[in-house]
Amino acid sequence: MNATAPGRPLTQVDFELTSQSGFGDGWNQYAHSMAWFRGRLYVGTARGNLAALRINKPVPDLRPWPIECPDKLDDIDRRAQIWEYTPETDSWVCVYRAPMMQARDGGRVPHFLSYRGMSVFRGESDAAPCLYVSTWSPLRLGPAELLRSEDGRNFEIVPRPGWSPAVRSFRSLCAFGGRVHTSPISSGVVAGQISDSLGSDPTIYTTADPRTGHWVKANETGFGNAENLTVFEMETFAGHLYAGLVNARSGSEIWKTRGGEPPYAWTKVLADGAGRGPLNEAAGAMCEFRGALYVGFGILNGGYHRAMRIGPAAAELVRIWPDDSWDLIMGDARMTGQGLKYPLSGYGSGFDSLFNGYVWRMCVHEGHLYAGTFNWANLIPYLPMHTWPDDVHALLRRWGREELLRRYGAFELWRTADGVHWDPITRSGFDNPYNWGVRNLVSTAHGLFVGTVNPFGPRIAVERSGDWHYADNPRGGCEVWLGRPQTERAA
Amino acid sequence: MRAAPLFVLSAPYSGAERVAALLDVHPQLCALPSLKLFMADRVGELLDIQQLGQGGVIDGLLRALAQLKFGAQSDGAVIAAREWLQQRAAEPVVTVLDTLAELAAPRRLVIPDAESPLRPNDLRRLREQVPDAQCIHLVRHPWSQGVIAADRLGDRLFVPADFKDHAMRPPLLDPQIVWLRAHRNLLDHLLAGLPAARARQLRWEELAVEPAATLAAIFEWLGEDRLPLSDAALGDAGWCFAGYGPAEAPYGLDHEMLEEIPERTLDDAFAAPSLDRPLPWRPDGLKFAAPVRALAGQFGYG
Repeated sequence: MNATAPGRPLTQVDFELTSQSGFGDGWNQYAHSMAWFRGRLYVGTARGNLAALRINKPVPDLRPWPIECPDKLDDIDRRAQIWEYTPETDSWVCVYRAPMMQARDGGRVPHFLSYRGMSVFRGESDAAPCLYVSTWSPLRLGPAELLRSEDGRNFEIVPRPGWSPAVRSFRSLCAFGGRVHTSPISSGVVAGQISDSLGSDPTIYTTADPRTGHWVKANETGFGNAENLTVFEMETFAGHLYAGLVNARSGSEIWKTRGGEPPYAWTKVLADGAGRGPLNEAAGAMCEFRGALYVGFGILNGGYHRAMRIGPAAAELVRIWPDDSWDLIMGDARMTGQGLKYPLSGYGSGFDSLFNGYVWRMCVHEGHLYAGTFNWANLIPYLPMHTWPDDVHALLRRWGREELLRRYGAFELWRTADGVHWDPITRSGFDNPYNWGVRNLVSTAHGLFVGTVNPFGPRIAVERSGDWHYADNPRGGCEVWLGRPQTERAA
Repeated sequence: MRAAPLFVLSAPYSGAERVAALLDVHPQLCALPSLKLFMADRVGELLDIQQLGQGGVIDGLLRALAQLKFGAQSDGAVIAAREWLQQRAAEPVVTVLDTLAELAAPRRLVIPDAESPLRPNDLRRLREQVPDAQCIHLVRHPWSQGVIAADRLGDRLFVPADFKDHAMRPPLLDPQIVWLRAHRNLLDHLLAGLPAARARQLRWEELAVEPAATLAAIFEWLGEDRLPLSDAALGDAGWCFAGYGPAEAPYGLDHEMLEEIPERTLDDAFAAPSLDRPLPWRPDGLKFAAPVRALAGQFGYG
């Protein structure tokens, strides 16, 4: 399919659920990573995220807590899982579960709480492309590890970069110039004070052979700016490796390199959050489409970085051309260093919704660009709204809370054929109000896979006649959807 | 078969409704208020927008239906028009346009629209659902448009986010943003490639200086009969939609058509418009952005 003749665009009726309720276990709350490997789809889960959030600092002011949690986090089985889907048989099987390990304090903890990234890459000593998986390790163990699998069934730990013991997780495994690249994405040394999206080391590490693990640094730490906190995402485009950074002070920066021998020579493409400052704190999803690199900007922690007092504000979408000029696709008009920018799509930030805190993932499928959001509207029932401004209350009264949640209370999935005209596929999480976000999109010959985040399981707080109690939530837990034209499905 | 509707497309605060009202003097034309039809695919979505939005988003549509289908712009007729729309909630918005065209026949509809140009998706709906539309691309000097818009919006509590420069804290009203956005969208997503018979440009200033001659040229372009016109006799007083509507749907027109603009504002707007002076609505001394100046130059403004 060439870029000028896109295939049939998918609509909501083209999507069918292939897995729900966290693969039958509502503690599988994030479809945290996905990859297509050897004719099958692999999904790495994160478990018990909303329960873990309750012990972190600062604790979000949610009353009651949206899901029922045991008093001790360790009472939840948080061993992250990897699931495999075979399209021909429409069947799922759990192929890997993190082992339990002895922690530094003598207790037993899962080796991995999540698999945050997956990439298919052939290193110098790999006989064939392998599935590489980045992990999230608990505080009471050593730093996050890198997994390697030749067959999608057996996973081994291979040498990780020589980063600090504080590194809890990493995500991006970006192949470029015959090498793979990654960077820490979260860190912490004190219980309850782990940032899930800020690493302690804004450095990109690279190797041509992850199996033997000769990792070297690919950039100067923080690209020479002490306020660049984390390398959040990476993507290849127009013969370059692009790195999107977190900067809570002046806004995200984006850098690019032609590669070569590391450390590479880098060029700054964009700074100050594309002129929006810290409201574009992080460059998240990045995806090449029709000759430009599309970049989703937003604020950490879903659009409201409480620790840094940034937000709330909704996400933006920008496209960058090979000459480093850029367009505002979706967002707030403004004067910038590159002149006056207005949203070419006609949509303001968050596709005109404050609740869309991120454009979390983008993917090209059959000539269309798809973009999935994170949306926090479904937390409204648990938020301390008595502290909100009167005008927001007036707006909610006008909408009606239940109607708002029914229509717009979950993630949104949008698509475009030209980068400018965007149409919603769903604005209600495929009609599941507990689907928080689109965490992964994978284009395959079998269709477009959508992996969701849905932390509202296994039991959710429900209100009846002013009283709250917990009840089983059959639609809680991550989901995986497959989008393909209805006609093909019938065939 | 209905006659192809004529759309007067412009940036907000550029006088689209006044142009429509002037065209209404022709007995073969029927000018309507701003319908804002193309904000949605289906009628029900338009009704939702009306319910949730501020400022009576589809008041113009309600007034048009009340007048043409129910015979008057009264509260009762507007209520009947709303019910009529509710009964057609599942239908595409173009069916409403087709009904209005049938009701107006043999006169041809003239529809002012300063809303669709803000969004490519709205222009796509217009293009796809009314493939035979004729279009007047109305332009006004960005200085004049900005002064008029700032006069209207400067002291309002609610100003659409689209009108603001969000690089400022708090965001600052700057009408040049929607001026550029609307005209670029029109050029890039609707008018490009349309033959001269389907689209023509009209500078507001030409109409203001020589209304009779300018209107005569438009009627000729439209293929309508010649009229004996004189500048002195032209105005919108005879237009049945001039001024406020009934309490159930009072709006549907730009504020230029509803309220008297202060003489001083009109002087500021039209006496000596400039592309090079600091913008009076910005406290930071900024002038027009380069693409605004370039496009205004393309439209013949200095």
